[in-house]
Amino acid sequence: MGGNFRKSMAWVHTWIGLFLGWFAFLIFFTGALSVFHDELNYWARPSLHGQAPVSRVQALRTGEAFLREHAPDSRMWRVVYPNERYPALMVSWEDAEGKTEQAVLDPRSGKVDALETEGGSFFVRMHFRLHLDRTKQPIGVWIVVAASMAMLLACISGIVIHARIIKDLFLFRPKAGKQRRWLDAHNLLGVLPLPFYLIITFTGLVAYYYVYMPAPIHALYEGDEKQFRSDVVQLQYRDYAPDNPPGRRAENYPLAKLVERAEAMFGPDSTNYFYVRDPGRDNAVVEVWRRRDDGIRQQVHRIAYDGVTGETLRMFTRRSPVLETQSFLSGLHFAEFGGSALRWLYVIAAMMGAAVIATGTELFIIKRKSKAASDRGRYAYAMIERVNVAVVAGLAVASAAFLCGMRLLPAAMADRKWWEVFVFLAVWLAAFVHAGIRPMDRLWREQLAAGAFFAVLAPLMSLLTPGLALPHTIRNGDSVTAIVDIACIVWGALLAVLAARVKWQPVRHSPARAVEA
Amino acid sequence: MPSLLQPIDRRRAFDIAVRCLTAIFGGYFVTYAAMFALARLLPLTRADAVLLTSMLAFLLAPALLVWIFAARSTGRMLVLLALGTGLCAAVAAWAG
Repeated sequence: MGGNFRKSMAWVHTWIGLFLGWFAFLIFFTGALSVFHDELNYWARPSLHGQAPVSRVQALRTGEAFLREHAPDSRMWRVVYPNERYPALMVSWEDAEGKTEQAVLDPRSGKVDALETEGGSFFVRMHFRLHLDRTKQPIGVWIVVAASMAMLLACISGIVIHARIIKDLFLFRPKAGKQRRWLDAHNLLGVLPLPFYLIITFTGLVAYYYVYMPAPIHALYEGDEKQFRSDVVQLQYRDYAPDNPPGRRAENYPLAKLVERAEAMFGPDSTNYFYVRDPGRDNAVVEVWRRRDDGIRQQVHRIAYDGVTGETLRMFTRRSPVLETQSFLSGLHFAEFGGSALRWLYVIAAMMGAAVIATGTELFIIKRKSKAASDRGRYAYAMIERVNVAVVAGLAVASAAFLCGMRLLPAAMADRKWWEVFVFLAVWLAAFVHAGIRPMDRLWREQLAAGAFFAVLAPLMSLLTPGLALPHTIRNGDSVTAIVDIACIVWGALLAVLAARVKWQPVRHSPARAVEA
Repeated sequence: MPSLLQPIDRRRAFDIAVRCLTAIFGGYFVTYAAMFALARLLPLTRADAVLLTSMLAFLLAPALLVWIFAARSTGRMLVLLALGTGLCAAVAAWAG
């Protein structure tokens, strides 16, 4: 440290990788699964399947009718139309205390899907805040920030270490010695998608900037985050004072007509959802939002209408280069553009990111454990080695078991969401216990095999769910469900191949040899 | 390079501890101070100034972290960080 730049970067790369690598692994792995959170949300709700798609106008009417009946006095309605990735209708409204309630509806009949499920959103919550509440347990957010910084630092120091970066791009010697092999794999996985790692980590920070770096909000808004966000995105449906009373009851302009008018401006099928503030009152305002998946952006066009006369109140027109840049960068992170081909590329690159971290830790162990000078040292490396199995293979087991849990837990179970999370955590904890008590040479094999088992079990569970069996969904063109099931089978096969091929060899101790950096 | 749990010399251990603590807390603190000051300096609308400085923070922070670990002298690195933070505070007070 200090002195030689390359040496100090090698030190940083090694130790930051060890201490924050496991969190970074969790974030990359769950991030890869988050790419398909909509599809997994749909997969997790059996009652939504097997219906013919409905027109947007019909879905809109269904949503409006539901809200009129169930939340006539609410001060806010929101209706999200079905789309190809999530063909259900989502409505939300504010209850008397101002808390937001949400329901998932069959877009045809308006029947509520009462199933309580985390769905694919579980992986999103795990990805950006370790499934901890942002305000009550901010530690989750802070660990994610620290791991992101560690990832950026690992990329930079990795570049410094590997001056021969272009050569490493094509260098893989599978027949060489064990350490060489791991090093080559680590370099290959690290160098090829390096631009992706840098961009995805940077944009992840940019996407949630106001939480991670509140200094400018403290400097210019006295810390009033709400005021800032309302300035920057001009959230019309929020910019009324909460003590501003609702107006008198009044006949409202037909919602379907307003959406039609918005689409006449933005293009056919171009809107995604709308908000109504003070519905059914003489001060009602309807705001229609454009969809965001046909461009790289997070901030979208929207237009607000007077809910009684239908007069156009304002359009979201604020366009500054700064906002466009931020919108583009977060758009890159959320990967809603570019369709499913691009989303698969994101999944593969993120999985490579998880793998580069896992191989890095393995390399750390292999490089050092044979040279440990004391019993305490050998013990420490053995512990790191075991924890690495429990984190890397254990997460594959727990996430696949989580999918099985969503299929297996009874639909009417009380606190069902809580139990779904419990399944995930319990299985992961079991992986740690297993890693602690089983002989080291069996650990990788057994945990990878368990991961393969659960990954294949999930689509088998679908077989038992009426209407969701794989042959059935393929025949019916329910491609979202079919692809999730097929992806589980392929993933399970991959884990099984790894389980069959993985070999763990105890190292011969040669403490006499000097330890290199 | 010492291996895990091998005895390492005491001065080096102290140096490593100081740099790690500086990286974890100091890195964030200095970035915070710099962005606080910069947000007040930029001739932009309030919202734009917040957005731009937030994004720059994620470029400044990793650069700072690299320097915290690579700087030749730990003492000089600490002094420069403290001076930098003081400068940012002065600028923020003057511009606010």
